[in-house]
Amino acid sequence: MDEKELQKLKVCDIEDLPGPKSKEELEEMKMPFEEYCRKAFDPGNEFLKPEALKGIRWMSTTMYIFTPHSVANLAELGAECIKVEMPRMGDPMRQTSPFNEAYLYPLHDTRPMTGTGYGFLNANVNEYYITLDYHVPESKRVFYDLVKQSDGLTECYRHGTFDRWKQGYRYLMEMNPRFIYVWGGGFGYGPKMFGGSYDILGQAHAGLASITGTHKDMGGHATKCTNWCIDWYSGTQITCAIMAALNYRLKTGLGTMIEFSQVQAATRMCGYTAPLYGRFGIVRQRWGNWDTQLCVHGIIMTGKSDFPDRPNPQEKFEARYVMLSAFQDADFKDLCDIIRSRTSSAAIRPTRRGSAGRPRWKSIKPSRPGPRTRPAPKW
Amino acid sequence: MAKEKRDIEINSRADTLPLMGPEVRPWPVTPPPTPEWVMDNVYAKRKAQEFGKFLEDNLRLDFVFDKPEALQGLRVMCNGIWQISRMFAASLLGEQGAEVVHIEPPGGDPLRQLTPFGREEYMLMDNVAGEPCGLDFLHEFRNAKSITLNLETEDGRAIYKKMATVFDVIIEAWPPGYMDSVGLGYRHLSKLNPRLIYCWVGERGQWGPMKDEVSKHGQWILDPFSAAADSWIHNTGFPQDQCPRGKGGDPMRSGAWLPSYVCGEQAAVNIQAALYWRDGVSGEGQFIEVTAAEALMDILDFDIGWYGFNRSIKARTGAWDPNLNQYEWNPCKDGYMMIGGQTDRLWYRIGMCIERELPEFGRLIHEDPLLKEMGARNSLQGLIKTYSITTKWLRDINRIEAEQKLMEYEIAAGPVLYIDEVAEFPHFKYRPWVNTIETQFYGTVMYSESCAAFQHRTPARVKDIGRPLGHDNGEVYQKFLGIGPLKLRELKAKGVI
Repeated sequence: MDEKELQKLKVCDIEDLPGPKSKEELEEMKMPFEEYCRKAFDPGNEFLKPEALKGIRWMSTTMYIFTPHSVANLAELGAECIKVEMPRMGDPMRQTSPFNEAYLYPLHDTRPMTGTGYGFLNANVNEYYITLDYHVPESKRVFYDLVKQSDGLTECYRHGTFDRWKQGYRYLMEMNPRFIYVWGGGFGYGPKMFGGSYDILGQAHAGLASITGTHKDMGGHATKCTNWCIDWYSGTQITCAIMAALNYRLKTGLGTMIEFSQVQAATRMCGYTAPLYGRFGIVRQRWGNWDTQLCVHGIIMTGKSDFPDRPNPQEKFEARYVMLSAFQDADFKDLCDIIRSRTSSAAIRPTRRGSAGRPRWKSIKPSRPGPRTRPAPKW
Repeated sequence: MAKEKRDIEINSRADTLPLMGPEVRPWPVTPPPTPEWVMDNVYAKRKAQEFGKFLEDNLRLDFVFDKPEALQGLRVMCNGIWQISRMFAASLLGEQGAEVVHIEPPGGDPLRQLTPFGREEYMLMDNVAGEPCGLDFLHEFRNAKSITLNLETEDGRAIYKKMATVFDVIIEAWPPGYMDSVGLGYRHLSKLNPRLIYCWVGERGQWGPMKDEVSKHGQWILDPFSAAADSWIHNTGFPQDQCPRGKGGDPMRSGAWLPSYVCGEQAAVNIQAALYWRDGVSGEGQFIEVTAAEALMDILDFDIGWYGFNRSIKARTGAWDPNLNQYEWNPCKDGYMMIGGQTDRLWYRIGMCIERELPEFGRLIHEDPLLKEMGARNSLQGLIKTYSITTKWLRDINRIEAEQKLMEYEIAAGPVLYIDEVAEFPHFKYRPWVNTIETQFYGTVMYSESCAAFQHRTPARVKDIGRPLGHDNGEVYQKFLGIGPLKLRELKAKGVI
């Protein structure tokens, strides 16, 4: 039989049949899911894979965390990012370190006396660092040349400063219509346009602080979410907007200007706070470690630390909180059963009538009203 | 002011509910400043009228609908329950113009049932089926359609497969391996649609020793497990020397579902990067996994580096910050006042403001040699001294007085505001950030405006909020799979939809 007749006998191509086509493919389909994930994500071998934003060049005339992070996100995805700092001053974050204790050893001469502060460490990764005093006339040409070769810029100066220095969007869009110009700051156009902003200002001003922490009736205060979270979180949202703009530019070739206000971003994450107020006039309060919508679902203190012998007080005294979650009926019942079986014999022992179930070390006598000479017993 | 006086009788909380709401007490209660006022009183003060006018003309929210959408034509399917992170990722894409379809099981997402303190009266009824919907779910359900699909049935799985061939993006939030076990994981769907971008979101991951697992009764691991897993909760809150344990001096979770939001935005960034790579370079989709725990670790300041440096573990510092001085809020007469300013320029300006009323501030703070250098101010003693004396000034004045005084010196300062104050803050309602929208199903809803809405060319926008469960079954299945009403009824009877 020759090739032609063989072809006639064939019912269909194997390519047209469903299912794996090769041994490798078959193995991939049969692999347990975890193994497949490990193979797909292949941790440790990221550098064997291509970068999504290869070829994008981004300028960063930013300071602190919020706007630098928006650029660092791009850099992590493969963009070529250039951090432009003012000569001799640099990003103030270089001078920032926890309790003024930890500085990176000065390997070069930018901060010969102390080294670079840890605050700078994480927000400016994968970037080139250059200095340029872009506000003096002598440097304008260099700055413009960079703009013509770049895809975008993130800046964080007070609104209008770059415009006054003739390097705002109004000027740059003329030079490079593909340019994506990002202003990140506290407020944006409007009555508070020139107000400065910080992470903590965002938390305070936008209502996040009012719902975080323990209620005043329980002795607590409005609490700052840690780690400059609003700076980082809104920086990533800038990246999100940049990515949308890049995808739009891919289709149309047009740049844009993004005005991003971090104070707004903090309100955005407050969930039901705004609709609850808008419809029912109810002002959300802070409820500590309770979740207002799930019960039991929160953080509680245990009696002992996990690491009582460690020298670091954070481990010795603080490793004693657990996240406990049992909000569905069956889990909640299990939790109750566990508590009942543990507590029935030890801490809560019925001693005499009328005080059954109370912990032994507590007095159950109510404090008497009226004038008293001694201070009330502390419960 | 009320237009007329009415006699009302309040016997229970239920009687008070109709007394509020947007029809009775429209927002904003007092009108925001006009653009002319802002021009004369804000922009003109800094001689920035021309620039201010440029911004107002090009970025105002009023012009949003005159402009194109960045992600127009992108089809996004969001499949899962419980995780708000998946919804935030979908709304970030939806606000940019993507066509978003939420797939829920026929019973609906349990998030729809969540309401603060279990109060059903704070849920909103839709005007079609009269089903109540929780406000967190509603607020995050933006510009999207709702369909139901039972993935436990063979027919349901076949339908899902067909859908996957015509969508660009799938955001999935089921427990690890569930979709894969029913033959609908990335390795199956990518064979049908190689351009598919598939993103799984969750708390700690779908593989590895601490992956997300449901309890033996099927309860999920939810926010803030991720924040508990990476010292985030550990270093939020007041230390016990500022506030006793059990009364606020404990590690504290964020009041908002912060980890989920951080996870969701990171997912949206990665999806769009994958899209850029697909459309611009390779033509291929890919598999993405974003966990809240890793998204938080990425933004953990320098804590990991600091631990590596000298085994330091960041402790709780309440409303203070160990890295910056001044940078905190402290109690004042009617709440808390936030003040910030680290560089010398701002540091001395804060001092000049306080000194006017509290001359000893200058003597004790400005003239302290240990507080002269920027970095040195961050020592614990430096913080305690500075904030003690600052609070001495604050304790006798209200937030608004403090703000006005500090604003004269152009200091980044602001009061800790509650949502009623946020909604009425002049700048916020001028733009507006807290906004109201007349939704199709739930009446007028107040919501937080999209943060990417202020753009020259392709602003993000909110078109509708909330959807009754499965409301778009007919439209979506007809549009994508050609399933007509009769067939749909049949599938419904079989429990597939």
